[in-house]
Amino acid sequence: MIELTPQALQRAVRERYGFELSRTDLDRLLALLTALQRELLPLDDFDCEPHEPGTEVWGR
Amino acid sequence: MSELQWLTAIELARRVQRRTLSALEVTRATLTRLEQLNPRLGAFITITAEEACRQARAVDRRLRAGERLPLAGVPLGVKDIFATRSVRTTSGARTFADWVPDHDAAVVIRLRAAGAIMVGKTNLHEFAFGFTGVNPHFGAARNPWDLDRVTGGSSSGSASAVAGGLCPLALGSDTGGSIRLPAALCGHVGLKPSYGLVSRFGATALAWSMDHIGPMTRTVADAALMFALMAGRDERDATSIDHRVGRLRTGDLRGLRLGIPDNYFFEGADPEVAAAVMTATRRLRRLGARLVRVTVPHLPAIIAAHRAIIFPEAAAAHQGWRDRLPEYGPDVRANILAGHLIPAETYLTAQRARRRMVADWHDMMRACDMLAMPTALLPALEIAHLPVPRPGDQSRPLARQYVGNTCPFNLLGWPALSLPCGFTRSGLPIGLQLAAGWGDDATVLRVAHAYERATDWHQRRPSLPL
Repeated sequence: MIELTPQALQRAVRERYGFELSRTDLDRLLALLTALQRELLPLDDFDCEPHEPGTEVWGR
Repeated sequence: MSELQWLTAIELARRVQRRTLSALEVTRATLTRLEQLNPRLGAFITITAEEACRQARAVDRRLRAGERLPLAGVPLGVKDIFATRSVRTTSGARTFADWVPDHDAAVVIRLRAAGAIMVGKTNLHEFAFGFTGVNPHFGAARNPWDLDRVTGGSSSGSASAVAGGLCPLALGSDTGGSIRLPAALCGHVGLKPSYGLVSRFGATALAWSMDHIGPMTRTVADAALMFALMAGRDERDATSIDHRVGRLRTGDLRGLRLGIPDNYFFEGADPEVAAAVMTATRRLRRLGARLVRVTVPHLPAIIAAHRAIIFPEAAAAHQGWRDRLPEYGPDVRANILAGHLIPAETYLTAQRARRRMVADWHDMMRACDMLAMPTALLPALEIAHLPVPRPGDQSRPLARQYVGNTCPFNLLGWPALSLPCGFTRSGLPIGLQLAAGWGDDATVLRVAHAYERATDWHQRRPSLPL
């Protein structure tokens, strides 16, 4: 995931969306991403089935 | 209206079909109550009084012409995420405050065809992306059991309307618990059907692969009827299929194996919630069910997969409106930005893991026919005391407490229903969640119905002086 610093987040949002986050918005996003980063941890070592999403037989 | 407001949809329709009441009388009485209570409940964003009366007259005409209408004259609240032709559809967002669609959502068409009367569009958490029901643009929907408390979301207005006696039926959508959580906190029935059984056409997408549409009602029989009328293949939704829904089955529960999870689902539950749910399972045992302890696999990885899918899918769904992001409320804006920042690799890993999770849950279900657990770990919180995210937060406890038990079933696509199973000492409703394997919606409804008939929680009414 992106580096969780106010500067990195502000830059990513500016580049993608073209506006600046307020300090409050930045704090909120930082808190959410910090929590999400922890919530997503169990996926890191998850033993997935050999399922290949997006490999349907296209155009048939 | 003092008598009509608490009638079930089935009973109301019966009276209208027998012409002891007209659809127009029911509609007018409903609109009067809406006018009196909606300013306090904040349940509806738009009230469609004129259109409702027009529809009611049409229903009365159709009955006179001999049509059979299973929901004849029954007032319906439509979550404002469903497109309604010529009626503004806001999705709870300032961005769409003036959007008037030229088409109806598939479920709206089906319910109207059955004789339901749409009385208005119900409030919701903005874009259905949140679980409190506090909306920065249209105000918070209020919990009829305590107006200072949340309804839960995202189908907040639908829950407030059903629990407050404004209408017996409402439409909800559920991507992480948005039907079942508000149903639990407001003390009524909410069904998230199996994925694919109800068309999503005309519903503003939150996360395509986990969005479900379902009924919110005061009784299980009403939910079963509404679901049966909503379900069915719709060519405008590629994921929708035909699946036999059948009539609501009644009777005892002999032979049913009811799985009680010994991990995760009761962890951290408020003691009053846990006690009410365990009492409910003992009641189900007296009705014939055999209680079986089960260990549910892949928790908390399944929560991780849900998060890794909902945020990026929502960011993709909102891509076309990204220049409007500054108009969004602060929590949903942060959610969309977070979805943009989660790597594609994480999303795809979650989708791969999902297949394995479904398979292993199916294996677990060899030991039982369905599962019972608390819908939410806590009752309704006060709106004024909702936590605000702060820098340095390492976790989101309220997400765990409110939708941690519901969101696994969105990832799996399995049917899950919440119904009332008690009240706290301070008078707040507690919800029991029943869930089964994909396509077994009928068993969920059958067990819920048996429990409801053996208890009187669904007959309790909030005190809402006019």
